[in-house]
Amino acid sequence: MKKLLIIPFLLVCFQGITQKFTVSGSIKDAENGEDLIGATIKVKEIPTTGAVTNVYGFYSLTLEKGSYTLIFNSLGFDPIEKKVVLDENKKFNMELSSASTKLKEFEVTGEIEDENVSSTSMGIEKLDPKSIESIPVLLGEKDIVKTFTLMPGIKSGGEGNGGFFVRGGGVDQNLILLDEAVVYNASHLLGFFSVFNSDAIKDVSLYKGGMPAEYGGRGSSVMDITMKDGNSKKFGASGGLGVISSRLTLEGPIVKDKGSFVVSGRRSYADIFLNFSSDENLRESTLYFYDLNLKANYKIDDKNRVFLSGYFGRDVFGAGDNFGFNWGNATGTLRWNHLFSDKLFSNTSLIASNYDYEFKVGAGEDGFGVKASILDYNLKQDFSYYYNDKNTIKFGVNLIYHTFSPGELVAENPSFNANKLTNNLATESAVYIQNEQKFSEVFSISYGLRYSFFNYLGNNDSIKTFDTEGNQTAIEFVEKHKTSKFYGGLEPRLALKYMLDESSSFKLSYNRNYQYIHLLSNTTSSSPTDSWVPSSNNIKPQIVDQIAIGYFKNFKENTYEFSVETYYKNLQNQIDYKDGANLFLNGDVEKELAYGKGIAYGAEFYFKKSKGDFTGWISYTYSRSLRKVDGVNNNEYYPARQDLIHDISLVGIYKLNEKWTVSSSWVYTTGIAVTFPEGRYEVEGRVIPYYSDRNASRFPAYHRLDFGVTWYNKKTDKFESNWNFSIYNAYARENAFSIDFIEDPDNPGQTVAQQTALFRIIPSVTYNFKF
Amino acid sequence: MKNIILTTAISFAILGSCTKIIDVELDEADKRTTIDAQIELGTKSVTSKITTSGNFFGANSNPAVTNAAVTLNDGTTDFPLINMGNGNYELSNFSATSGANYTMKVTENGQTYEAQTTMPNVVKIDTLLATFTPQSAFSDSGYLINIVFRDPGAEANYYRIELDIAGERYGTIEDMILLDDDLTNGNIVNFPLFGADVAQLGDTVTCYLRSLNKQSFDYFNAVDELLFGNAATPANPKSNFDNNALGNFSSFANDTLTIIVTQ
Repeated sequence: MKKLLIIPFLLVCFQGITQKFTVSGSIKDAENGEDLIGATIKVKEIPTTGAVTNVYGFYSLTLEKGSYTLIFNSLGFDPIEKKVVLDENKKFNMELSSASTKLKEFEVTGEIEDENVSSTSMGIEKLDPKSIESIPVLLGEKDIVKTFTLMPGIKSGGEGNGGFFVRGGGVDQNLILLDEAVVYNASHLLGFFSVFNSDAIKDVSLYKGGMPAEYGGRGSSVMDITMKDGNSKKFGASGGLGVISSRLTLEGPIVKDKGSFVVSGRRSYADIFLNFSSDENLRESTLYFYDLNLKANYKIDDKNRVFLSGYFGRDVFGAGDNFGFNWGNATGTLRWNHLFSDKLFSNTSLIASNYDYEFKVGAGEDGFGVKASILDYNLKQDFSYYYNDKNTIKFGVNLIYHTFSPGELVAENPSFNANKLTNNLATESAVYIQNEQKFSEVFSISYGLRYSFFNYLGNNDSIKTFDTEGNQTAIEFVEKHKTSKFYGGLEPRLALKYMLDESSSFKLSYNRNYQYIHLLSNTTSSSPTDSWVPSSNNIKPQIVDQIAIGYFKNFKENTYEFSVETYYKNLQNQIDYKDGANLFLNGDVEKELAYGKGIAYGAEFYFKKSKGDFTGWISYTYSRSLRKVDGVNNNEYYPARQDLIHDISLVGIYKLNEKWTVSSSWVYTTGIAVTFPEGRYEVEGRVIPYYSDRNASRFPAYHRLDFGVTWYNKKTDKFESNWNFSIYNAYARENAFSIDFIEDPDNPGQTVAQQTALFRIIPSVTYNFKF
Repeated sequence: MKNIILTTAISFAILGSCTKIIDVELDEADKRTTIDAQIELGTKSVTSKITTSGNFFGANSNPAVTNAAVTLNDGTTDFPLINMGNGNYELSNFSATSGANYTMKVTENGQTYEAQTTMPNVVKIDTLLATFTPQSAFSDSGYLINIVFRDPGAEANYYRIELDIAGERYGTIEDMILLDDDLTNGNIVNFPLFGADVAQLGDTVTCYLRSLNKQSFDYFNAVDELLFGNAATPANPKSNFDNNALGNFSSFANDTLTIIVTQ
């Protein structure tokens, strides 16, 4: 593999004898000065060449000396043509104006028109928050994560469960980045809503496979979220009033066209209604969440720009004095963009990321509580070298210092001994290089190599090693910051595209991902108290290999898009739990774990209409995800919880006129795989369920129909607003949240299955404004 | 468990969730012999209830095994248990001592099942406290009972706590309180018995502090987890009987204390 990769890099070096010059600069939205991500620069005279802006709106294109017509474009904007005589390096900072039609708001994604076919990457889904505002959602809370689950290969964790599954991977195998900072728990209210306030978000990309070498650390997917920079032209405010929460965003220039800021907040107020409840217990309950997104950027000069962004969010739940529970994320990112030349772009990031939870039970002397957290400091250096119009080389380094605080018992009650588990320390590092190379008009390859390594560090405490039975085989005192265990590995990444004709292509991708940190969850649903643990003397890093092939075809000038992708994944060192495992405040939690392997495979079909008054898509995914773990299920393969075999999404958005847009979506998913009893016996007169095969039973299938209507008030220069009405679960399907086996109330002694569903029909209304 | 309660509470608070009885198709596991046996410290009865496991959605009660031969061995002598009918076997007035090992042997239908248990030491209850608590989301207004005892520091201890409040028993396998001394070793433990109801003035309250060995504790803990937990991977509690039998042979060293709730 290594040798193969070196050859193309060498090829890069033996090109170009004629004189070449570079045109570079940035592309922004003329209205608010936001950088445009993925905007294109095409050359009219050489249709096959071009460049794309990066996440900071920067582009660089090197061409032979000559006269050209450059076309600057971004979907939903009017293109600009510019005639250029390229006899020296030139800089053009362009501003594009919104397309004259209202097209923009009704496009379902922010891609360049035929990007799905023509780009080298595959397995990537993109959304821009504006495009999803008409899709109906629970309680009218626009939610980027929930909308992604309508795409093929991305499945919801289920109502009342945080997280999502990508191509048969677990919830913890998704790398979720907000302005490069890892967000460890992306759920509010136990998964009813995601922590991402759509008002503060500019762009989201989700890689299901074939991720570039710049990303690493998780086995299954990367969700890369970019926050808005804020309006650098004028002050503005936008917001919304909803049934469950309200939002307010303020943005404006720090120095006009040089710097801007954005502050966006959201708070739920279900608990305010609780105050009016006739039930005293409900009145004393607290239940809310909030988010605060902050970002500022300043352009020091043409070569230097700095960004500071932060996120703070928290869920707070309490019942009187007796019970309190809160959890949340905090992240901060400081970034410095520097142009070493018009071909070499550099970004340096210093990132902090924290997740913690705390709960307490009982009041005063009788009370006790538990605290746990994970804290990362991350230094990242990335370079993009725009060698010529055929090669874009990216390389960089990354160093993360993790502190895992697995749990601390806080009690005033003198019955309890103080119990604080030793913090786990580790460093996670990586170096990478990748090149996107166009070999010809029809053939291009993106290839890269990442080397990641992990040091599990001592913390002036004993580190234990266990055998597979959970017996301690070694114990060693390890000083603070001394490496106790080292892991490392090469992660090759490859994506290639072959254009079959102008509107169709064949693609192939391969990626290997190492995952060094793992989420332990002993419950059927994911919970804020799930804990992250590092790879250690006992836990090996997870290794995931994925190969995928796809066929992409657009019809009628990109009005219709069609794709089929199939993939096969091999998962190594997957973690499961021994029978009766106790994960709570357990210093020797590692002896409760069992290890195994897994496979996942599937086919994803996608058909989308992306232009016109009626837009929408149909997606169907067939997939399997199986695990084989020592000592579980007689050492045979069994379905993973996320083995959701059939998954269908239908989404339709119809723009009736300038004022009204109606939308609807329908989803169907095979029920989750669960372990149900296969017999019963009696102990002390009580019926005890008897279990046999792991995950051999299924919940009933999940399906749901939603409707939405958006009414746009007449837009003026100063003010625009809309009302959004939605109906969630229109035909009142009672989808199972849990299934319990209880004694039949009508027939004592008989056991029956009782299903709990969280929702019937949920109507809601939201008012959004902007000025 | 926590999570289910929370999620359900949240959804009730916001929206009101709904339940219904549904049909679920289940596989049928092979039938297995179940032996539910126990021995207590002091001169007490040794009991064993033998049944056969059934289909999960099966008949009212599982069939009793009425033709078994059951013996208890204290390391030197075999004591037969008397067949009381209906699957119940009993040896009365057996004197058990702390630290001794007891083996139960069941022969039934050509199969033999054996389990061994070690009798733990008894731990005495110091006192019971009754503290008035107003009505809350978790209980009615009344007197919350706290158990106070000194946990021996020299050994790992495991407890199953049961309570009688005005004749009502909180101590079946459904509402027993299980406690180990991981966090309280060697301390004076003052533990509120939230699991039970609150008592009222004048009520007679009896508390049972039943010491267990680790195996028995793990067994009951696994039963509790199975009945009330929310484990992703429900597992059968590990029996100390061999030959794939279900159930357990548990030993208890009990101490009891009775108070009348006064102001």
